[in-house]
Amino acid sequence: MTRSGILFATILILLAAVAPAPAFESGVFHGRVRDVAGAPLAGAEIFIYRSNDIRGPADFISAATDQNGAFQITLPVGRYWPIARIRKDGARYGPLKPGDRHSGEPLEITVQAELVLPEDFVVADLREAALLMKKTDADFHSVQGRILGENGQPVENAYAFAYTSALVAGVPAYLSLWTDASGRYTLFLPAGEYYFGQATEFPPEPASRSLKKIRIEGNMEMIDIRWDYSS
Amino acid sequence: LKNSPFRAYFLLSLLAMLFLAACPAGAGILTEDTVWEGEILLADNLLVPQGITLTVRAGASISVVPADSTRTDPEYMSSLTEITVRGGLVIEGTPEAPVTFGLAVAEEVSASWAGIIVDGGAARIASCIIQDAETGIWIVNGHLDLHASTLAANRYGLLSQGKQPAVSISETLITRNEYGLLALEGALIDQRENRITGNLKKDIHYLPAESPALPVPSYTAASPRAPKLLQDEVLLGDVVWQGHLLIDGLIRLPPGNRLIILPGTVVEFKKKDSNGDGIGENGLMLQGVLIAKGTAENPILFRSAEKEKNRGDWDAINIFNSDGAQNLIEYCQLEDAYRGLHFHFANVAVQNSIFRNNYRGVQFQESAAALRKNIFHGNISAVQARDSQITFNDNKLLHNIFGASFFRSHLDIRGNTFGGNLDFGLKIREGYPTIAENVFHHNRFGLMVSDAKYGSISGNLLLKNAESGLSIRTSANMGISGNFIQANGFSGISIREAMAVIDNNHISENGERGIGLISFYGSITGNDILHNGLYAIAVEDGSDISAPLNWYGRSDIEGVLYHQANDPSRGRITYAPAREGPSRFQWPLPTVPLDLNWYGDIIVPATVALPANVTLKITPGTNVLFAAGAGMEVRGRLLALGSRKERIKFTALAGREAGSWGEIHLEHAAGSRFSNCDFEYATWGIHGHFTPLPVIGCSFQDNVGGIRFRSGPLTIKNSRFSDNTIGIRSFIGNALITNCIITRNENGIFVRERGGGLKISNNNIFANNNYNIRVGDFNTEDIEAVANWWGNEDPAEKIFDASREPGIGFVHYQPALGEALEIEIVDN
Repeated sequence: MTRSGILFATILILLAAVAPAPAFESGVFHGRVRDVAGAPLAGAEIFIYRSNDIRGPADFISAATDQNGAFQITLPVGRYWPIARIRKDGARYGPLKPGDRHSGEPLEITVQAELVLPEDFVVADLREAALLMKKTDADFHSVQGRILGENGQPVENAYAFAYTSALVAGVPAYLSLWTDASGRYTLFLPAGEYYFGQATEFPPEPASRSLKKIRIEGNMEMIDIRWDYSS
Repeated sequence: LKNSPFRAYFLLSLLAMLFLAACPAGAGILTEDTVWEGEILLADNLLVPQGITLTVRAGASISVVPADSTRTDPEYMSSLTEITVRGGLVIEGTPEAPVTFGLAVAEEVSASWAGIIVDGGAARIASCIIQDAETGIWIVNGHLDLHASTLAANRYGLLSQGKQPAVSISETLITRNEYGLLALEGALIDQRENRITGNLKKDIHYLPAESPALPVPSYTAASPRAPKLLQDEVLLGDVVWQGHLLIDGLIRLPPGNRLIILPGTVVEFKKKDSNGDGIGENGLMLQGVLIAKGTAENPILFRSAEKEKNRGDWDAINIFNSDGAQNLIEYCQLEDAYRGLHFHFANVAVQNSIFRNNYRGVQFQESAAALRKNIFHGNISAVQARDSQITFNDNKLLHNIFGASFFRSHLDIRGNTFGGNLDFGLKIREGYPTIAENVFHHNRFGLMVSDAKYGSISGNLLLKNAESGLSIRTSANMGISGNFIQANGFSGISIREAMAVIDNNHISENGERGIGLISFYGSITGNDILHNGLYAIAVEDGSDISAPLNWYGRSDIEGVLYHQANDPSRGRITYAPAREGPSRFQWPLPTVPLDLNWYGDIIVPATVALPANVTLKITPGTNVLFAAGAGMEVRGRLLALGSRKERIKFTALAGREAGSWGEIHLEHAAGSRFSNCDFEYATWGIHGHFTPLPVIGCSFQDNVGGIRFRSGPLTIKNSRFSDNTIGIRSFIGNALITNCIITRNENGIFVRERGGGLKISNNNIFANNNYNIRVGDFNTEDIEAVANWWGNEDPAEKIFDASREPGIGFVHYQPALGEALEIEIVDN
């Protein structure tokens, strides 16, 4: 080694001794994941991106949440876009498939020393998410069922209706679409007591048969309307 | 500068300077004849309506301010800034003083403007330069005379669609566009001395096939009665409409009230156009509940009252803030409107209704909407909606300019047909879509999805769309599975910046690429990708692609991939291991609704119908696997044409005994043919009624029966029937049965009734368990069966005819052949 080389190496060693070691600043990001019913969800993973483009592979992926739905991951200090996902088949990579659940749009977070997720991730599948985006008046409930004939067979080209009083007069307060071969109908109506019937002509003939009294307190299914309740 | 924080400021400053320097054009709908000259700044859409002419003087320079929106006005055609002509456009450029159209800030942004759209009326354009547009000139309807002009640096130079527009282009240069000249759907263009060259992707794309004229039903009115005139009016309580109403005003229904329209009612609207924009203003404004409950026999009609009816003669049925009880629109026909049905914050169900000749059929937002079994035909746009919860099932959107467009909505889109729409069939932006079992055919673009976060596209048929079957942009978590994607003009699937799983699709015969990819993340596996024009998969950027276990229909797979091996700047497609044979594709629809070809292994899970006027070609080497009880109901043309080396097999998906699947039932299915096919484990291989049918080179083994038929005539040649309960069963049948081997069946040929039309000769008919020929009790006619070989026994031993049971017909089998014929089971 030349004299100048020895001098350069000595300076480097001295600098290394004096200068602080390069710190890798990091913080801890933790929080919880629950389902749409509010229950803690085990087995979910948090996919963390360095931008809001969540189409490619994630930059970080947390370990799966525990029985309390809790997760924790150490990240370099910085800004991130996390999203929670849980897959039916346990796969870790690639696009989600039907039935897999996710937390929707990514959050935007800044991780410094410690960041506790202010609100839990809520994961839903497509169907559940659609239900959360209800577009009808919350005071109205959907009532579904079938219109059945005398022998219990579905009736096509009929419709369900509901009067608010047993004293039926005029066009019913609530009507469904004409049924198809399945006989299925849906009515939207607020909570209360109703007199359900069905007809194959519009407007319906004056009721010549007994109506079914039904109390509506929320969404209801399998409320079949038979040709004649007295039978 | 492009990425500089000063960019926005710079652009705004530049635009401000342009505003000062140029004369801002009056955008919107022109209401009088207008002349442009000098510097013109076009900051918003311009519509030249019918009866109005825009003249542009020589030397004028039109700078267009780019904009991209989720615009909802139905009279416009694009989300970009556009000039749409439904009246007259005269551009009077000269070689010395041409007229120019371009972006106001072209060099600094990647944006574009829509271009000049001719939708009716006439455009006479001379010495004009059009650049920076999505499409320089798009002609949908009307006349275009383009002379000595230049279309450059647009995405598409010139697009003409269909045979209706009259287009003449002379001495024009079309260059440096992505695509130069597109003539789709049989468009006819009179060209003289043009130069169409130097376009980036393609100079000329000519698609001669017109979309088939699809039957479109319509409702008709009951006998007209003297109409009741309604002018501006407020309806209170339960108001019932019936009979014939003439509306000349705005009908209002305040909240808490109902309008009930009875079956058979006709509602006509007079045209009132107070602002001269060509669009009528009379209509319904409902904040209560609408019950328009027609029936199939007595539909309800909403239409123009004008003698000459035009789209836009009346406004709309508007429903606002009615999200409680469901509004019902059933068996209604809405025509000639600006927006047939328009609702906000409402709960609406529309069923069995027809929307035609409207600017837009249905438009809504912030609503719950269920649309089922409706027909949208001949509208500028069929449906547009946003921010809603939408069920869209079993509708038909045919021959509109734009099909359905949904923005930021939860979508269940199932069982619909999007056919022959000049632009897209279905467009989804920022939605959460489930798109299943729909048919997209003969649109310019079949299905377009952008900015969706999650979604499923499964079991759809995407066929013969002029550009792409399915295109996906900037979307994530898309499942694309079980779709049949065939014969689209450019690409079967086109993906840019998206994350998806593409599996178990059939992708064939697309003009250029089966799958084209830019910035794709995901996997491509289990697909059959074959017989595409250029490539099965093409990567157009540096992204590596995982594509194992696909079948390409050939061993030289590199030859159908475009990737790193072709261009080092492209990503690498990892295709190994590749499948050596086809994957099993499950046919997703209850019908084969359009002409198409089957390749590979096709599972038929439930009986599939082939309607009249539709041809299904089953190509050599195909295996058709039927689930228990499944078969085919053929009213169209079934061509199962195997080859000597690549036979076609019709077999059971599960089970290896007779009756494991149903039958191929042909009824009035003239033109059908079976060559070099093998049938096994069926109830009946072929069951024909009133169908002339050649069956040549086929084998029928281990079925309950091989062929049963009535009428015919059939030609059954060089075929083998063995180990069936009955080989051939005839009922009032006409057939030539020749050069066949019929053996080891319980009964070889059973003639139930009127067998006089049969000619059975030059066959080997032997060793059937009961009878070689069994004449039924109701058959009184004699049967000609000479010159056959009957085995080494006395032929009479195995023929049941009048010699055993008097009263039924004889089988005339003498002279018989003394030795077996050499018969090859093949159709050459």
